[in-house]
Amino acid sequence: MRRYTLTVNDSTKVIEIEAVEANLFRVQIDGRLVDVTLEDHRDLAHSAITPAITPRAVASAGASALAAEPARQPSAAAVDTTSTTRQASPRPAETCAAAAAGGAGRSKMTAPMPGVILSIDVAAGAGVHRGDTVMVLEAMKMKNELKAPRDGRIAEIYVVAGQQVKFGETLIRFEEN
Amino acid sequence: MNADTMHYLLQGVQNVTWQSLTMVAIGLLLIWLAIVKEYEPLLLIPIGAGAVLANMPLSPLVGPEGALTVLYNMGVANELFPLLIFVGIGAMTDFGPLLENPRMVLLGAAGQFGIFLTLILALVLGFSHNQAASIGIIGAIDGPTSIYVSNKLAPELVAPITVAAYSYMSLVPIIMPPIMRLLTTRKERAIRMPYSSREISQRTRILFPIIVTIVVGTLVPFATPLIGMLMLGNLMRESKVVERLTGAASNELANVVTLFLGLAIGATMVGEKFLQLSTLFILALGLVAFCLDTVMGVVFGKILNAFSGGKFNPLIGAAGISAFPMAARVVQREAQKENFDNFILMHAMGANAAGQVASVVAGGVLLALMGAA
Repeated sequence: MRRYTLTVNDSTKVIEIEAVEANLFRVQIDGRLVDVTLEDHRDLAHSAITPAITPRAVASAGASALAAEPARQPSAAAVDTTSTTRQASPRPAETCAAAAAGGAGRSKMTAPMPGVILSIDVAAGAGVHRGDTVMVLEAMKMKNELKAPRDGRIAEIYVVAGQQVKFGETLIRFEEN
Repeated sequence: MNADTMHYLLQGVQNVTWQSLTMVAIGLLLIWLAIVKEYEPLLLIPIGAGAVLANMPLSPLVGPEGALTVLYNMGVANELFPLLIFVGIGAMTDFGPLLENPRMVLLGAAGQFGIFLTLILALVLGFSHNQAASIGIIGAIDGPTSIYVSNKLAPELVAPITVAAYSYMSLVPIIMPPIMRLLTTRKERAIRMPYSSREISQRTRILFPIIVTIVVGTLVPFATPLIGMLMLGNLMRESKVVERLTGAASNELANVVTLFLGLAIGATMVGEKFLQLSTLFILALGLVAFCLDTVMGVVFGKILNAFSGGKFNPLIGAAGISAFPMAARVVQREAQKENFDNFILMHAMGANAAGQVASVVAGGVLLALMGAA
């Protein structure tokens, strides 16, 4: 468990984050428990996305799930205040609009499981359609084609062939339209 | 040149029988399957070659001191080869996905039901208790376990059982998908299960093989040789201090023993013994066992799905057999057909690794049930 003490506009908040699973965290903000799903945990320096929160459908009464973007700071006691403010600020109990599950419509593509990138079939700037194979990820000795979750133009590729990737690592960013 | 000389020179031709010709043809079929269809070529080529060589007329290879007989006595009759192969399998198996998802053990257990259902079916068809148990073990879809168990219970059936086990193992991608599709709805197959890894510490990974060996060995003593060797290989792998041994077990040892085992098993496929109605029954029952495994696995997956409130993809149940890692790959492929960005491979691998252990336990339980010494 990690405890962050953040000061936002002179009000101090204590946030406790407990990792339930690799991408599922139980966050306690001011005594309120919130389930947080981590969609991506690339360091902010690499991240081209704003750490906005995509609200998810409420899983069970009382506990609301929300998707935070780059929340996992490698054992840093203090977190970049601007990003954390926005992660911590929403009223989770009210945010229950279902976000598109699993990637469609998101601006990035992340590794669905740990493995090694075998080949990258697209180049930055290329246009892709939903379902086009963009790269091959080898996991447990099986080649898995990773396909574009949406139509769009590829803005940036963060990995190279032969690279080991962790679960949730950002692979590709799409251009915003 | 008198008649006697002619007789000696043509001895080979004179000793050709229809049985030996048929067996040579079967051997060639196995070789063809291995080369053209790439069905478990590492095993089917040695088995096919063994069958061809053993059935050549007057083949000196299967005489009392023949090379293939020596191989058989060296490692099949006394069960050494399957155990050595298990060291290699242990060194190659990553139990991480199972440790991340321990509930997959349930699916590994469910995947073994086919063994016991087939056993009952074989009894009904008139096989003896020991033979029926040996046929049922084909349902473990695990070559070394099948050889080990059937050799103890019904040595006369080792050849057809081995051929059935390895053939069906290679047919996993063909046999399983239709059953999986039949038993699940499109919606169920599309259930997403995000990867949910927890970091597994090296200590856990090292303790796992030790604890499994002690627990399983105590509960099911008959499984001790198989589980002990499997877990020894895994302990070497996870300890990370004997990489040379791990490498040797998963490469040289496994390869050499596979060659020896395949040849020796192939050599037992001698015409008069193999060409019997019972062989056909065994092949058919083996297929039944395999299908029942898949059915039970998927059904159990559906039960887990009901318990989890619809969050569990029942396809994963089909991976609870021993055919590692083919079964898990098939599951992943089927899930991806419904939903291309659904990756349940790691969950399936967990179930598959559990199936690996469970089939060994099932083999031990069978031996215990039959009171084998």
